[in-house]
Amino acid sequence: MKVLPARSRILLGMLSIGSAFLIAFVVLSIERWYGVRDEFIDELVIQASLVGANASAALAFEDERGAEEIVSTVTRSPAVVEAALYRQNGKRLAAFLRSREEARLGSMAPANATTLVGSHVIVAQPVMVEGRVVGSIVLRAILDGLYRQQLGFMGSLLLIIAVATLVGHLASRGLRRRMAEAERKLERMALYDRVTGLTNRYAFELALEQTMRRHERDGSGSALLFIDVDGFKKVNDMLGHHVGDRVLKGIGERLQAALRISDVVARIGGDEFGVILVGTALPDDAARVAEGLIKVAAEPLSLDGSPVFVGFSIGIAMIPQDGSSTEQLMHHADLAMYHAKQMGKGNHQFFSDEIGGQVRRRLDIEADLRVAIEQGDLYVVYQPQLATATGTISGMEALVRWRHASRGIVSPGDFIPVAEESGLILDVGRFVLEQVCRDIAELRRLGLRVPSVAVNVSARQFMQVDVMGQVASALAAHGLQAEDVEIELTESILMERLEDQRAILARLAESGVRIAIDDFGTGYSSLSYLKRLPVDKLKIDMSFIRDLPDNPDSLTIVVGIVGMAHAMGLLVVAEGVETQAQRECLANCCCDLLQGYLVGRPMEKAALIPLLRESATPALEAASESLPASVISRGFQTIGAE
Amino acid sequence: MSRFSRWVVAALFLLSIHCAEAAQDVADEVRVKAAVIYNLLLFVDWPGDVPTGDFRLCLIEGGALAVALQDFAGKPIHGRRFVPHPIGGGADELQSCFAVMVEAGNPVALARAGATARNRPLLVIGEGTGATDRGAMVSLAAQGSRMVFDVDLGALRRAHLGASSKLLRLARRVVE
Repeated sequence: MKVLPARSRILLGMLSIGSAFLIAFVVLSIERWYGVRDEFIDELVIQASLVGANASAALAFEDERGAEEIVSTVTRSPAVVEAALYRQNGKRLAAFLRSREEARLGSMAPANATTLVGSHVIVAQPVMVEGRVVGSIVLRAILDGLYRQQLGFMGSLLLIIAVATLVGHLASRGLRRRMAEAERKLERMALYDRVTGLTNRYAFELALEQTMRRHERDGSGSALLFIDVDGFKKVNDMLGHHVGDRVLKGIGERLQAALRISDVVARIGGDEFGVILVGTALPDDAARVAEGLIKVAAEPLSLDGSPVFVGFSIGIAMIPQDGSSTEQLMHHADLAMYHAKQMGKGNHQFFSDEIGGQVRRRLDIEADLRVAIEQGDLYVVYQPQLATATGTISGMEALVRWRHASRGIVSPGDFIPVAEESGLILDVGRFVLEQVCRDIAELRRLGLRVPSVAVNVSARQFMQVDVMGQVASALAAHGLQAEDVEIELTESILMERLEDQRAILARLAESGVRIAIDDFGTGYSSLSYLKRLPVDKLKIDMSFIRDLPDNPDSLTIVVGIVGMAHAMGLLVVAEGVETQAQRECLANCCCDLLQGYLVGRPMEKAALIPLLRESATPALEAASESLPASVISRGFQTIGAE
Repeated sequence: MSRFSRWVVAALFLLSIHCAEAAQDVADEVRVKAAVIYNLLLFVDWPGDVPTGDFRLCLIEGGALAVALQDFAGKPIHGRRFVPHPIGGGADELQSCFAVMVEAGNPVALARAGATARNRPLLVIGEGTGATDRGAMVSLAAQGSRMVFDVDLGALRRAHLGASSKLLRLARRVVE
């Protein structure tokens, strides 16, 4: 439906009001003219009757002098210019004519009672005495006064209409202003974002298209920035949508204040803003602006006195180099922004084919991973841990693997971060836990002695899922004991929300599930938490093991960790043990368990069976040096480095 | 025919013409007088308690005037039929009259009529200058070709009669 703009509608309204007034004016004027004229004639008739009545005796007695006297009384009425009394036989008895007027009444009485001629009216009335007609009185009046009155009336009417229109116009000004405002508001709602008052996505795309077309002509360029507000989700979740909206509004204001008036700023959805740096053709300039915006974002927003901290992750696409259509440009800027978030937030990234590829690959992985979880393309492998004291397999770490239908084996390094980000890690974690318990139970049924298996639990899992409940139900489902599995956490998780974690860990520990700290030594290295948390095992990161035994620093660290752990009653696992020299060194250091290619690569359940069988015999301990050879020679699958 | 006789015939003829003209003048004067009398009656008001019946205008020994007034017989006056009614002049006869016309040269009848009018509403119309002094309420007089009249307003009032202002306006003289 085509909507007329406000101005045309007002014009139309005024036209219709105008024609209504015109019709009213014409009708009123005509109605008034006839009304006034009839009234005038009626009055004239009455006057004639009165004069006639007065003149009846004069007529009856044929008294000319008396008749003239009476007839001349009509002079009191200014409109009457001529009067005449006629006898019954029609002959004139007396007449009166106002000076400077031309006589129109003849010597004989007129035939008609009322004659209306252009500028005057003639009225004749019979004069009666005792019901008998004794003659007639005739008056002639000019209509000049009537015409003047009519003109006056029409003039007044026009004036009234004009005044009424003016008053109405003034009185309805507020209404019209509100209407126009409402219209503007509607227009803005279609093109503007209601929360921030900025251009919305639709209008932003229009502006982008315009910019692109202009650069097609002038050969110049601009920069397209996609800005994601880091930490906004947290603000929204914790303080509510209302505060979230105010934060967005504040950010919008800041962006506008920080940018030139010619730049386009828009909210393109959720916590994402879009900026077109019009005419900024050089990436360096765009980068400077992006840096400036990031700095601006770093200053806390003050809401009711309490500061709110947010940050910007900015993706930049250059126009026209980075896309040939608005969709493509927006997509590329979006990819660059995504990459910026990957790079740890609070930074800006330019779009490049490489970044595009990376991000696309990530997104592809995410999509495929969803399918993989449903279709059962994930599986679990186990990497054995060897006890230095006994030479037996005293532990295993469960690792997840993905066999992709077309890509083959997907590296956990590729898909675990994607799973973490997308939240799919929760499903993966549940699957692994379930699978591990099932495998342990199966191996047990084969009569094997299975040591406790360590399962990695991600930070996200720990925060969002009832890990305790999951573990308990998985164990129960397969008739296992708490000590059959071990929860492996990274050091960094524990540092974030220590109090909350401690409660959960305490409950886990109480239930008998053992807890290991993964990648020990790479995190904050704050040892105090070890004292406060119910930890059972420390796994020394492979970066320390790699340089053993020759690097004295690494050696010192390993010795220190082992000493400290033992002092606190913890077991120590060395990760990434690959050589015999490392093994000996670690044995000398009294490291409790070894994990690495030397001991065994991650292997599928089937491959575990002979290993566990052999390990059950003390032969390993006696000929510990032959272990790697024996394990590796069995052709365990090498599925991927851990 | 002798010369003389011719002259006589011519003289007689001329005389006859003159006489005829004179007679015509007299007849016109009577007709105008009759019309004036009739019109006069139209502009005089009688009190409301007058008995019903015809509007009787009594004429004392009415000759030519009575004949002339016959033209108006049956015409309406104050809702009654106008009837000219010649009477002998006795006081009893006046009882049934609304008005009485006493022509000139009958002062006794005029005085009697005037006396009667003291007891009842009777319009007494006289003729000639001084008629109002002798009992007439309205007196007619010829003035050239016109008929004029005088009104004795006091006498009218005493007889409980009213005269229209229109009539008074046309009167030559109004006596209070």
